[in-house]
Amino acid sequence: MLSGFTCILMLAVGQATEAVDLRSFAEIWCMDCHEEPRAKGDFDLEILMERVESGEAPDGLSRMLDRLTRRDMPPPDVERPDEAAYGTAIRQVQQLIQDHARTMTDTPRGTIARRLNRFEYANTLRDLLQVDLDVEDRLPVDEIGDGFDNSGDALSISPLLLEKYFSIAELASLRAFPEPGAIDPEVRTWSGDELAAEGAARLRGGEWRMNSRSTLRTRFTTESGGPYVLRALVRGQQAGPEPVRMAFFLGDERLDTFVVPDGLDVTQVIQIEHDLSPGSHVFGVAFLNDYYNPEAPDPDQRDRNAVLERIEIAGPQVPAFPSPAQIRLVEQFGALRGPLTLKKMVRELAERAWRGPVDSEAVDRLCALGTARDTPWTRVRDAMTAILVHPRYLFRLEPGDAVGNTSVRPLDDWELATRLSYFLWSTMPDDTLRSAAAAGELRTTEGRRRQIERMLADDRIHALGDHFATQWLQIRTLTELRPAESLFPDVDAALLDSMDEETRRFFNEMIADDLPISRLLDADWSWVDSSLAEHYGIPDVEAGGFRKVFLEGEHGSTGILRHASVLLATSNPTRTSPVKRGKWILEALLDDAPPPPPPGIPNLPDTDHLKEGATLRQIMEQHRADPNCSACHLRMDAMGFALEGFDAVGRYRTQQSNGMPIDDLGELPDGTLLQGALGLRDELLAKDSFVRFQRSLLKNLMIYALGRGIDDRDEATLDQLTARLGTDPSLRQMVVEIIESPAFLYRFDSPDAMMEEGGHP
Amino acid sequence: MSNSGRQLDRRSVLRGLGTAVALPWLEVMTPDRFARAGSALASAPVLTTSPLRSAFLFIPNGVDVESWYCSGLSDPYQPIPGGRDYQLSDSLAPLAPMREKFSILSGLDHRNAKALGDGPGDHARSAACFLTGAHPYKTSGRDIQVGISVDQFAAQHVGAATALPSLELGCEPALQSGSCDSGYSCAYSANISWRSKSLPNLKEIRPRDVFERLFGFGAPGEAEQTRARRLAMRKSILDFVRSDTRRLNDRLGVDDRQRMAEYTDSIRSIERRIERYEQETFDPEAFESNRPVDGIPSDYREHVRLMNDMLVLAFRIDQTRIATFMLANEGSNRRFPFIGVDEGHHHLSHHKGDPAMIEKIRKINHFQSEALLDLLVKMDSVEESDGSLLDNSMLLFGSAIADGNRHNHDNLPLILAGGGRGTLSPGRLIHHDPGTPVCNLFVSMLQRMGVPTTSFGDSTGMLETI
Repeated sequence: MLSGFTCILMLAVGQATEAVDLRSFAEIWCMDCHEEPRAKGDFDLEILMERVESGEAPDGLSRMLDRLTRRDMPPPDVERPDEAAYGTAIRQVQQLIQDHARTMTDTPRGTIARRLNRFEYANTLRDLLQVDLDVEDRLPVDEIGDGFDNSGDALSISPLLLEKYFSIAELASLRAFPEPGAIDPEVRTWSGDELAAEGAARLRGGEWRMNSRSTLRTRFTTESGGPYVLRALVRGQQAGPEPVRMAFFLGDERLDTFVVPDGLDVTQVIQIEHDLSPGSHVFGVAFLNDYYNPEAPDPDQRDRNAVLERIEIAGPQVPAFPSPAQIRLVEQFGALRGPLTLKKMVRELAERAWRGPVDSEAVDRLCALGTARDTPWTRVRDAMTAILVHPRYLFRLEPGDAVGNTSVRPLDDWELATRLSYFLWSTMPDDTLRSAAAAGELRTTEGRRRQIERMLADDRIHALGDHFATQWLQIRTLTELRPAESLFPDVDAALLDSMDEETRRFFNEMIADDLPISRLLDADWSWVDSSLAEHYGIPDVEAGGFRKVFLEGEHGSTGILRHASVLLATSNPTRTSPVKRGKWILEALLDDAPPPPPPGIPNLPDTDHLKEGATLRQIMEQHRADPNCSACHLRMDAMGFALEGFDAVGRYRTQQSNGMPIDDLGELPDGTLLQGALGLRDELLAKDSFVRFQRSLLKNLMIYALGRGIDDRDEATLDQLTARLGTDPSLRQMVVEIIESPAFLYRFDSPDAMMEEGGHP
Repeated sequence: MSNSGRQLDRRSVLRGLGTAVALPWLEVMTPDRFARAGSALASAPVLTTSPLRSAFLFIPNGVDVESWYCSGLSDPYQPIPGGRDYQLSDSLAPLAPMREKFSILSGLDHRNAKALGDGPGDHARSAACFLTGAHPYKTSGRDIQVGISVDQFAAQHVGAATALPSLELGCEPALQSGSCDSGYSCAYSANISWRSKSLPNLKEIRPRDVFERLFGFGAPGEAEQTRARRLAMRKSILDFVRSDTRRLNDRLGVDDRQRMAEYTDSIRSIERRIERYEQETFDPEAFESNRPVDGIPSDYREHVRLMNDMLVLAFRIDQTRIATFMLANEGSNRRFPFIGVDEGHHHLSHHKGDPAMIEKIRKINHFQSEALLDLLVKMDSVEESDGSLLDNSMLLFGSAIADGNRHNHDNLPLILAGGGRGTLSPGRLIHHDPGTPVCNLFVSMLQRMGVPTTSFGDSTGMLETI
């Protein structure tokens, strides 16, 4: 499997010149500290250089590259090479690593067991059992690895998480497999001091005497949404011209008013059915029309009062049995009576949930978790709970062939179906995909192609926009951002949602209509709802959802470069940030992330009200003056300035908030001028940049597809895919090529396993 | 109007509604009620002496050192005779009522939070180093590595005494973006408790979830019998998945086996707890009526207070003796509108000498002291057979960045509160020689907790001063 290493000797010849240059760089700038006998950080560059010169590409090169790229080394307090020397050394190290990597194309890094992230978990549970438990909110936010939240490296598991999985599994089993007959919804009651009184109500003998206008309240929580019955047990004492009136409140909202018949000895039930969302609510029962007339001749007509015995809330009011999951099983296997049907059902559930075959022994054990007294559906519930906390459910495992043998092999049918489905849909394979897997259709390119086409045409493909696009474009946290309210009072949470949706819709359209990726940068249309249209100043968009609009004006045909989502996410709360925007272009679009600034460099003031007429540009000119800054900032700032025609919340503007005209001209280090968003767009579409853009998108999509970082060993794969895709492919083509690459179709060893086998030099 | 009725003030109303803003648990939850509600108090043998509890509280972004350190500290290493006659600084002024219950430790360093050749990223490094004393490996996801934290080191040695070996609390979820600080994974900024050098300990940020955890997987409205069956079933299921995992393991690669080890570890932890809960009685009524409302309070003050309540409750009913609480993630850009701070905390911490920004940082520091006071008061009002809960605890509060504007990691702002069951002598301002590692304090704390160790992290000895 490591045939690539035989090429090393041939490599050595080509590397000779570069190695010489690199050695002199290392000797001048590094080896004062990094050479035996006291090599700092245990990092001996003499040894490293010797190995490089003998034709190896040791791991230490990556460490060296990392430190140089970040400008961490040499440390800032000693003399440092100039930017040109840095650049040359970095290119040399990169070249050494890449050349070496290309000789070992057949050994990309393995994908490690991936735990389902909270979105995948929620989708899978929903598809499996047709229950909706708002799982996304019950599970903690997942760690991010390599830019995405589906990275196997970062998705660890801890006792707290397993506990949460247990609770969700129990609840889901309970919801999915209710007992026949046990259809009464949960009823909760409150009485006595469990209720809080406002106004003149007295607790006497366990009942509330509402002798004048008053309200009794309780706070309660609903685990799931749906229709609930809100109920109060009351009695009324009639007096005066009106009957007793009472009202139900939810929070401050009056839901309904009731007339309570006279009779202090007859309990009346007043109730309504009301749709509740999951969460916390305050339910109140009020006595509305107190009446007191001590002069009334009839003693019984002097005082109008109400009595509240207790409050009940019952719900959600759904016919529990049979549930959709039960209907599905019963249609397939018949009524659940004996152990035979039980086993069939449990096997079906386990195979779907575990995304692969399940042997009889496991089924037997799953069916035998409880005791003989348990009802059949109790057994299904217990088995389901076990299935849902099992590692085969929680993790996407691709085990080795046999005991101790962890070699490279093609994925089996089920593993392939699983990878396809989580890549494209962020959920488990559906029935069609399972059938295709069972029939062996996924083993052929044509068979896979049929499924991919089908999946791309399905609505579930929106998962790519929701999870891939938002993370690639770094707008995942958009809806948590809050632009300064004093400056942008109209930008509220709902508008941020709309901005997010614009980008996701646009991305989905790219896939649905199979558009070339250059449209991402030059589309002259977008998707807006009425509030977003108002924000942008686009006329004639009525309320009622999103619609496609074509944009006029010179800033119109610039694709995502003018999406408010992106422009806002790359701004400060009070002003635009050409630096952040430039960094975003380099990082997300061009995969050319600049190193972080050296320590001790102050940020620009956080306000647009720039003092004494100084423009942002005048302040940023400091970047040009200081060689520590200029190397990276000249490019970054130029690109960012080109977007100055859009304010900090993504609106087109013609002047800054201090009244100065917009200055959206950027000059790249080579003298190229970028005028506005159009200039930037043209630069990005120009050959060299566009090649980088295409490769960056491909690389990000590959990280997302494989659930692991892309390292030097994947360079060759990226080369091949890029060659096959040609210029300006569509996202669909990229998806297909990634799926058809060995990295996706095969299971490789984890890197540590490879080391242990002694393969790595 | 007929009867005037009993006038209830707003506070009682709120309390009745379960949204009580201040001190709800200590008033509503009497010990008797909680003994019935399933605490260890009901079944555990009566302890002649109360156990020693330890908590570690973290605040992000350093502090404004000028107003945080105490007068007499302009030269922070100048000893003050006796240490008791110091003057509380402006930022610490709210703590005055409890000044006899804590000491201020000056001069302690976290050397491993420094760059040491790794470039920028002081925020990530400081949180990662805060309880580990270790230098985190710079990575954006893969190969996360720092070191085991002091709370987990203790939990591994003495955590078996309680149902939960340790409790991890916070107010902010992990961040949903790749790199939180100059190439460091967000895991470093969002966690201070590390189970192992590569595995952060997830923290709980929802008060209700903590509450339900403390009462043994309680489910809303569940009868005793149902609960007992559910716990028994959990045990059977754990047996089942454990044996399956073992089989699966033989066919997995090294990395995957590592992940399965985390999984098996989690199974064991749940099993241990179930065994304990099975010996305890459970009062669904008390449980139900005392549960905090669902979700995260929109008011940060209330959120912090509720988490303080949960911490006190956990200690009081002896569900755990070790806890960590991150008042916010490192680098947090939270705003504090309730004290007139509308800009982000992290943004303000880089004030570059701007007096208006410094003033706001002081307000935030002031609020943090109030949050600590809330916890100390609550702990001190819990009477145990041999002093208050606070007397029987050690509580470390602080940050691993000293000056948020400078990002230095020496002379850290640290407060050690509680009596340590008679092993601490609080009420002082305690100076240390420059360069004394925080880890020396950890060694001394570990020894008091009964962990037989003479070193931790980069310690050079013990801290004899406390």
